[in-house]
Amino acid sequence: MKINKKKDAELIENSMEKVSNSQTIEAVVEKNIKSRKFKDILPNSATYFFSFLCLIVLCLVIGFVFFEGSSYLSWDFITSNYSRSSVTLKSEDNFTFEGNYDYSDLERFENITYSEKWGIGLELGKDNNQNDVIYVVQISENSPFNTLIRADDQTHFVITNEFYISYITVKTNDGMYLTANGNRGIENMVETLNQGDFIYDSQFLTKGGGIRSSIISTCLLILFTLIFSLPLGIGGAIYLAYYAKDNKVTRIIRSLVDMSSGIPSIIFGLVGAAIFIPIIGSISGSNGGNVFTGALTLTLILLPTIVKTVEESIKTIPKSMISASLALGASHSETIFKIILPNSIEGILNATILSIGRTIGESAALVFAMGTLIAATPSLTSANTTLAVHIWYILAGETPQYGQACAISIIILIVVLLLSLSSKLISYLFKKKKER
Amino acid sequence: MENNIELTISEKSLNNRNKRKIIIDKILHLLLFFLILICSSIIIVSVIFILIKGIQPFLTNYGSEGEYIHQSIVSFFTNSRWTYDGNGGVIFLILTTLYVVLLSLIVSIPTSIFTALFIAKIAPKPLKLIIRSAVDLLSSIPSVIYGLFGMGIICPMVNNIAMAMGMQTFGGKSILSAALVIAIMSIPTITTLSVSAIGAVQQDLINGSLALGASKTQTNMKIVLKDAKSGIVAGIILGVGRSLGEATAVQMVIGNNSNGLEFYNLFNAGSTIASSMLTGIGEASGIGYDVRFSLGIVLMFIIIITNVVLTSIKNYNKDKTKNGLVKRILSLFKKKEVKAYEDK
Amino acid sequence: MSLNLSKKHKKEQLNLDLLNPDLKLEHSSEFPNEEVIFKVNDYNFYYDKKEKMALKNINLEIFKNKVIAFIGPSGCGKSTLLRCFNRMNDLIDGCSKEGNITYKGFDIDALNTIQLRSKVGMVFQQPNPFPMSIYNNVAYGLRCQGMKDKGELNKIVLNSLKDVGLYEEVKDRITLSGTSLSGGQQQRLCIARCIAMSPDVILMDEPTSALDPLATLKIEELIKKLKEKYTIVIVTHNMQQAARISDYTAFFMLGELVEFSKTEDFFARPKDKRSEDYITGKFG
Repeated sequence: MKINKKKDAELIENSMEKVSNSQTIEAVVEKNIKSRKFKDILPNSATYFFSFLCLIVLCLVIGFVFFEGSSYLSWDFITSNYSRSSVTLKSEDNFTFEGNYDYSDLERFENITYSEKWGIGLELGKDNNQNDVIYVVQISENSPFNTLIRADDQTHFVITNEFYISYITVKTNDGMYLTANGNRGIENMVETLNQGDFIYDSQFLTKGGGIRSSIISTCLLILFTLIFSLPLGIGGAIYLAYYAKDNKVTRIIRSLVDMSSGIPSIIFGLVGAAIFIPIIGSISGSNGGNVFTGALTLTLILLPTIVKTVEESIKTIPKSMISASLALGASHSETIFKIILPNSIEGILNATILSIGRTIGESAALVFAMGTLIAATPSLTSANTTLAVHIWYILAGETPQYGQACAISIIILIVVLLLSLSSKLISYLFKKKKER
Repeated sequence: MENNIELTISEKSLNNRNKRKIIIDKILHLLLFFLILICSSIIIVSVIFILIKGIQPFLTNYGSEGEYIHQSIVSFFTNSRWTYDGNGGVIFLILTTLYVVLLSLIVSIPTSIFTALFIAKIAPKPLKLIIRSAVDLLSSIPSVIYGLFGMGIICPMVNNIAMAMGMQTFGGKSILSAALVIAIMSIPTITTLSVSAIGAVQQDLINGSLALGASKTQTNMKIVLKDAKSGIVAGIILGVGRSLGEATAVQMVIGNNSNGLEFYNLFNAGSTIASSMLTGIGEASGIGYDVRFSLGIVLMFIIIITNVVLTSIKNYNKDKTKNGLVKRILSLFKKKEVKAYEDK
Repeated sequence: MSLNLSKKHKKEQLNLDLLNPDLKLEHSSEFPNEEVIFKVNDYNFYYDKKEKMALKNINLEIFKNKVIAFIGPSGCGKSTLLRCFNRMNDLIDGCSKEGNITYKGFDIDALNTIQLRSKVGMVFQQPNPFPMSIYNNVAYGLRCQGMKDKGELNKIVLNSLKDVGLYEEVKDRITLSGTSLSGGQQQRLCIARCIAMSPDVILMDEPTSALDPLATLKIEELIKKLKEKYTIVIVTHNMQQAARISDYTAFFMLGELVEFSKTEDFFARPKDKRSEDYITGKFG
């Protein structure tokens, strides 16, 4: 930098007057010292503001899910199937109402409405969409309801209390047909039943809307994902941490593993759909996605994370411990199984927890690789879906079912919370163990 | 005599055992190498398969009975609408994706940086623990729940805002909602990385600033954040990468409007690349299914380009000591500034 | 800052008397020619909630425009005392103190830390230039004080760089990062940063221990030059360095001030047996 020499000389002269220089600084300090405190308040309060914003968002998410979902969450919801199963029942063709059946075996409860003519107890309940429906909760041993047959195959069918009444059409002795709909209320139902003498047609439904099969599929998916991904990931991590020399091949391998952790899961979903669905299909004869294709796809997504986590924990093992083992004459394989694996158990556990969390939460990839069909019965080789995709599916339709989605979200959130707590617990326990 | 014989036998067996050990070692080594090869080849195989499947819609005939249906290359790059019938254009999907992510950064960057600073430097201990766990929890919530939250809380909120401003929305499903949901989802990623970057700032540097009479806040803002910059930028790059590929949550709140021309309007419904891949997947077949692989190629391409661009920006800022051409030109300007001071 | 410590603080405020250029300094009783700028009275200092005593009953005076060297074996508390002068120890959790230190007659605990630290500069063991340009490094302290006048700023920055002899070496690189300089240059940059604030006192905590001999020599020459304008307190491990550059020497051991005297006297005729042992290399 060229400097104007004249000005430079002036500058140097100025610098000789140190006193004036010092005074300007002191004047500045004096002038600004009070306003400085105010200037500091702004960025400081910004940090408080934004941190509490994060906290509020978390509270809103959790609060919303619990507020909307808690009324939907019930044991029935968890254990019942998504699809409703229905039966159509009628009286036997040669049935005639004899009157004066002995219904003394019925135990009477206050909140149950009884049809004295037919000897059944009806109770108002809710299905999984929170609509009012009428359940058949009690049937007397002598009730003609026990002799009803299915309309399609004429076999006897006894109604259990899982079923609610969709509608019943009765025929009176004077040949009149009366129909009572389940949604018209319990009084109407009992009245209609008491007028009729022959069950001409009726439909009974199970609750439906439940998530039993999705829960089981999710558990199966987690199991198989872990079975596929953990051995691969741990093996790869051991190679990277123990055998790999710092050469070109290792560097390429590392960067490839790193790169695959940056690819969004939906891309892996496409890959799973393109590779695994045909392969598994040709092996098991299945058509479309199932638990296996989902688990293999998740393996692709999880491997980089598992490799990284386990490798990090292997790297924390003191080098001296490994050299000591080798110096005692142990082979490499013995060192791996007796020194490295037991000492990297914390990393392996953490990787497992991470994998479970990702598996439960993953949706985009599984939409492609596993499908969105909510099955009636969980199975390994036919279409299935997980809880997260279940949420997506019931929200993607024309009428989003927020309540059920939130109820499932509560389950997912609780699992996620437990997982993060257990990972904290693990790190605490291992820290304690190391201190000893 | 007997002793001697025993010794040789045991030596022999020892030798045999050692040989076995060596063989086992070699097998294990090979096995583990094979495993890491699988791990690292995932990305290569994935890219190849996506490329093959993604180019297919452009080349194959999906129509039957003399109809010729395929994805037209011309409309792929020119059409403003995205459709699944072979005439969809991808340009506005790309623009919408970038626009949504950019909008989300406006919210997520300040929130993350200030939160990270709060956690690492400012917060008193109990608060620090609370905010830290909150951020950890936010990061472990799956995206589908954020989508649900977006549909249940953010969309109505955006709808109300739009109504107050006299605008129409599709039930609040809009680009703004998508940007907000993405911002919330990327905050934990950026914050976590920023906290570790800020934590790695040397105490020496902080002491140096304090000893010069700077206040704690000035030190945090001018020294700590500046020194942690490259770590924070790394966090932002990671966050952007994830946001670009986010499908479920975005698809649930963006409204999936295939017409891209009005993407700049915050309250308009739109679609991103990833959300278009997911929309209508249940009923898709034939070209409507396969064209999603073409979108997959576009998505990967966009993510790679964004990463390269952001990383080069980061590296440019990092070492100003290296004198590239651009840097030299820029530093010339800066020198002029100083010179201007001197001339006064 | 530990909570219990800040409670004990007297209310900090800006002391306008300090700004008065005609402020008269008292003269030392022991060395009547010298003006006292810092005075340490019966000072005790503890770490770890009073579990570890770092300084025991220190009484010491720092004289204006002189170089005072603190020497002693490591862990003797010399750096701790140095950091007490500009209250950098306040940043450490769980420390506490008894007694007081006065700066120009005012108790430093009653002074605003910002005012105190802008008048009492500090140079650290490891050169720690900020991750910004050389120019901004020097201007940093001034800008923090709220100085906005670019001409004024520019003048002070250039003068400071000239004062430490860095200007000729870096004038072409003034916009490059301060971390791109060599170790010795970085340390001189840190000194320039310090004197840009036109402090009264510069505290140096082993400023040359991380540098090579040539860079050390340059810093020592700089210190000799700077003492015309500033009071310098330097902590050093190196006895020869203390002998070369300082006017007064304080010898510490196990948290106690063993001896404080003129440097020539200290090295020629140590009064205390422990000082003699240390100088002759029997320990330390």
